[in-house]
Amino acid sequence: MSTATNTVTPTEGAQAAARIPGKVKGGHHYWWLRLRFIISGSIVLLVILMAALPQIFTGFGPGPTENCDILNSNLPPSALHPFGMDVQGCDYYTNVIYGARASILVGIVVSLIAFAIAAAVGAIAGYFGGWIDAVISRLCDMAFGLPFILAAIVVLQLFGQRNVWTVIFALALFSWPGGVRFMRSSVLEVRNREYVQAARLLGASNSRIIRKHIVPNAITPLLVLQTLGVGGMISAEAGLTFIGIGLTPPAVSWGLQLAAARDYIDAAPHLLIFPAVFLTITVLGFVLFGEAMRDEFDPKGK
Amino acid sequence: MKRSPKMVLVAGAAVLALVATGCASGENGGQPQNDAQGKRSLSFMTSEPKTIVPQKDPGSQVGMALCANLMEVNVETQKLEPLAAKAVESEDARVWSIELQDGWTFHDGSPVTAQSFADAWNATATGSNAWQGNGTFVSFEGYDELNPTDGSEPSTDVLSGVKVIDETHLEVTLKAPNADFPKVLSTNPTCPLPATALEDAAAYDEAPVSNGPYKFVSWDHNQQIVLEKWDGFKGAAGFSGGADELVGKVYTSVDPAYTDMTAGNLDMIRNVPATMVDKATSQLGDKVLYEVSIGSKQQTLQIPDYVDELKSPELRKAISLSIDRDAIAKSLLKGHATPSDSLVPPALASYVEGACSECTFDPERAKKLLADSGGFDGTLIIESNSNSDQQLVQAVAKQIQDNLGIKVQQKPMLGTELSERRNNQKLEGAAFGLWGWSYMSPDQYLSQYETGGDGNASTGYSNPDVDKLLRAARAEQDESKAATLYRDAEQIILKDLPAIPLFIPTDYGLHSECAVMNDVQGDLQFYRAGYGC
Amino acid sequence: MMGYVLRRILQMIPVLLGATFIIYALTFLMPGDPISALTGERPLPEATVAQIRQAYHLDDPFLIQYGNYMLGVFRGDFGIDFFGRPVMGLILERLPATFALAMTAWVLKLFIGLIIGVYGGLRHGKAADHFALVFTVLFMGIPGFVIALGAQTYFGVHLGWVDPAGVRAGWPMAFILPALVMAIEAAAGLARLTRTSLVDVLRAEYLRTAKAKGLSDQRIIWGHALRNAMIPVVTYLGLSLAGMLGGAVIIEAIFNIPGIGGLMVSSINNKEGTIVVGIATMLVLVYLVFNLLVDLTYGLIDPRVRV
Repeated sequence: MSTATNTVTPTEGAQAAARIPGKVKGGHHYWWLRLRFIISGSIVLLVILMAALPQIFTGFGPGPTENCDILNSNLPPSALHPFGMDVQGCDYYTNVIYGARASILVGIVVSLIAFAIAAAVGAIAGYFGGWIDAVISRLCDMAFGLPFILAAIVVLQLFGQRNVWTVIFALALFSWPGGVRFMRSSVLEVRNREYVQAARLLGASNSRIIRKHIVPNAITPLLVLQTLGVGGMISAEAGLTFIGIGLTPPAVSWGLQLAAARDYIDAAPHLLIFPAVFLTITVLGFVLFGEAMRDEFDPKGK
Repeated sequence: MKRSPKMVLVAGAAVLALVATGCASGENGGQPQNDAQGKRSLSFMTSEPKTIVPQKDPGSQVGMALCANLMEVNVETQKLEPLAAKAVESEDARVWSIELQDGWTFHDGSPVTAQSFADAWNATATGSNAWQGNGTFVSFEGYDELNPTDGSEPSTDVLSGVKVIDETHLEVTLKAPNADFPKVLSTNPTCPLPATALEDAAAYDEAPVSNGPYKFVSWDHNQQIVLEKWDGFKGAAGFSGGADELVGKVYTSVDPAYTDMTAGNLDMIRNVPATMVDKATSQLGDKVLYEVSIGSKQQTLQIPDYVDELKSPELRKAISLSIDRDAIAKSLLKGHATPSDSLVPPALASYVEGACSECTFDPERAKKLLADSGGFDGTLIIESNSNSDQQLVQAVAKQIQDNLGIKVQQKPMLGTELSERRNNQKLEGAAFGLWGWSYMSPDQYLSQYETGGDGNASTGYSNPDVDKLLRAARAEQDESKAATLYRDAEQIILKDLPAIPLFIPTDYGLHSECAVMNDVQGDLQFYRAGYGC
Repeated sequence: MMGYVLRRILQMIPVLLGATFIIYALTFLMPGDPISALTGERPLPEATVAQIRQAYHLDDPFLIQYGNYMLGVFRGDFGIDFFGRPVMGLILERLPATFALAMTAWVLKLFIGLIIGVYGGLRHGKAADHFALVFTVLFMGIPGFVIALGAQTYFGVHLGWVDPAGVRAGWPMAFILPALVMAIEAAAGLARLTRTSLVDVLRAEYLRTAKAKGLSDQRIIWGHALRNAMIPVVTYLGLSLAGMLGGAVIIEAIFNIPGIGGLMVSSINNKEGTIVVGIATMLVLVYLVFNLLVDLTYGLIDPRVRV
């Protein structure tokens, strides 16, 4: 969660995905891949379900800020309240479950936006080259060079009332350049293939070539990269919220819960443990899922 | 008393109030801090100061140790006594004659004269210098000429209300009578400056020379500031402290400072957050805790007069009655605050127990009052500083929402934004406020409800009857008569309830075995600490 | 070669201008009045506010403010803060701590990441490889402050091996623990990258050729495979050092390191625009220089890449 270092992972992912070993079938290795895919896939599915329909997990009981009693502030876990009570005297289990929504929404939506921008801009830069490429590359440099956390804080401070969407906006604003570079380099590889040259000779328009030939053939690595990035975005949201510049109180999120817990690490360790475990497992799930995806749909294996 | 007249919001100091520390053992906490020569040295927590010049940052603990004011609270008597002055007197509380002590000098040996004060005051009162102590001089005659409201160049560079009679005599003329003037003279913006300070301001910023009990030794930026007891200080023991050396160690926030204290590397911390108090006593024992006996701060829910939906006094009272202050104080605040039932803290002379009859918890009456006021369909917005007291604001908001059945929306924002909205009267609803006194006087609190008074911008409350009573109270040199007038004013204000009293937070300090902490009338000052080893 | 470097340096100018412009504009748009921030809850008299605003040209239109600022920057003047202290001095004061922390963390990360990565790559597909993967990713998932606080309490307070919160202890005692925490958190990325890169290279045809030629495994791994596998790793390492120099806000706050990160957050909170832009300018510059250095390094590692 040290946002300064962890979130700048796109390049790393890009490089990693670019040099992927061929799929190894058979035996021990394949069996392990399957298992990893199933485990991480189930975690991802479960967390997404939790985000979409938290009521299922809380037995359709009261919402996260209902049925609270300030006199129960910070009570430790009990039979009735398995995760204990939070600072405001609300059931912590309900709160942690509802906290998934913000994390998942941020992780997936930011990655989708970054994916869309990177695919379009990267394809244009790689296909046309020349001054278009130069302008786009310099823009990427700008967004890359600005320290992520500084840029994110400044952007987030523009909004008086911050919610999930403003956080998504701030994260998305600076998370696409990695993808653009990555997409650009895979487009460069595809651009000179025979079928593209054939299409060009047949008089196909640029936009048609990009849509029909370039993007479909160059997009898989980017897709994998962005899947890997979901975990990073989730911890970035938690990190920003934790240092007080992400989501703000009426919202329910793991980052906010961790931020509140830091004052009570001694008095009420359960406040820290539960959201931390959920966050860790979620990030782990998404990263492992991304890795498994990469090994399954290895672009070079085709 | 030298507390900052600029109430330091918790957020201001702890810019990034990050992270509590984990479980730590107390085995080596509170060890003596003697250095090699056996010097009686005490260290205290500070953030990297922007400046240690008293006039530029009146809240600076270093500045307090460096400067001896004309008047000062004696720790032993807890009374305001002349320090650098022999006498401060006035017939009418408007024209004040000040006589200085003979033969007092600055740390460098140059004499402290009437001119040293006049020069310092003129410089501080000049708005374009942008020194934080500026506001102290608003009540001086000639302030307006030095600070033209249109931002144009002032025609003068001195306060016409300050006259140097001779080496040791000054005369100050105020715009209006103020019996609290001697207390004003105990605040740091009124410190003297040696001639060298104005000749080479940049050098003075880095190594200030003043006239107080401790003198400046070194400032290792972002690491530590060292002060040393000054042999030439002629004030009584009650104005000084027990340590031969004071070391201000720089911490980014209170949490690493606490960790360092558990490791035995730090002697004193002030403004300890309530959440840290319990942790400290369980890890380091009860003896590390210093509880300031006088509550000098108050938390309120300020309701701006210009927000029309919140204009009705019945509605304001209903909101006040719907907050269960006892429950919050007991559970969330762990007893480190007391419910407030007046517009002033109990320590002030004008305080009357239960002055605010609507500051109890009575949801039935609250609902009835709400109905009487014609109900409330909108949303009650509560604006607050996102860096401090978030859980408390949330709890208060929940109480109002649950017990009164109206919609409440929290709006946390940066301190800078909140200040701007307050000062420019752009608040959209109520605001969570924290106020403290610069010196111990009801005026310091009630001026918030005087037209154009100190802190009045928050609510914009204005009532001619109140203004008249407060002016009269300020002119009254007899403290008990003044208290009656303040009391009358408070009664009138409470009818409109422009601010809902919430809590009086308890102030705590943490200290090692060797540091014997002291506060002056509710303000914990590091340099006053005795040495107990 | 010189021409290439010169062209790259020229390309930096628009990037630098663009980035500072973005930050300056965003800071300008941020709500809140910096003058109000000076004094907290008790506002300064209006007259004073007016005078200070004028002294700092805060009432000028945005473009004029930005123009004046950039003119100053080209003369080497980064402006002053609201206490009259030069911004450059403030940044330089903080730089040594940030530099010491970043370099230490980077070197530690280098060792941890490369060891795990090379080990995993050489034994890819085996249980040890999978274990290394889960282990590194696990540290990515655990909230950083939990690791930091745990380490601080255990090694700093319980064992007393290092000063838990004392920059006064100097390097290495004050920096080793925070740097280690940063390194462990960041090592996952490096380890995974090294592993995949190595696995990829090991499959490459020229290595099969080398093997066919009868070169020993040792020779192949250390002489050919690692060298080639390092190309993407070097990019990543260079850019990540630039990132680490940007300051680690949480780590700095927990371990009481007076670095750039803390200055950045506090100046944003107080709306000290000149400091925010000053830091941004410096960090963008650092990034661009590292970027160039990384590209130049390619030539050294990989004879195929000639700039």
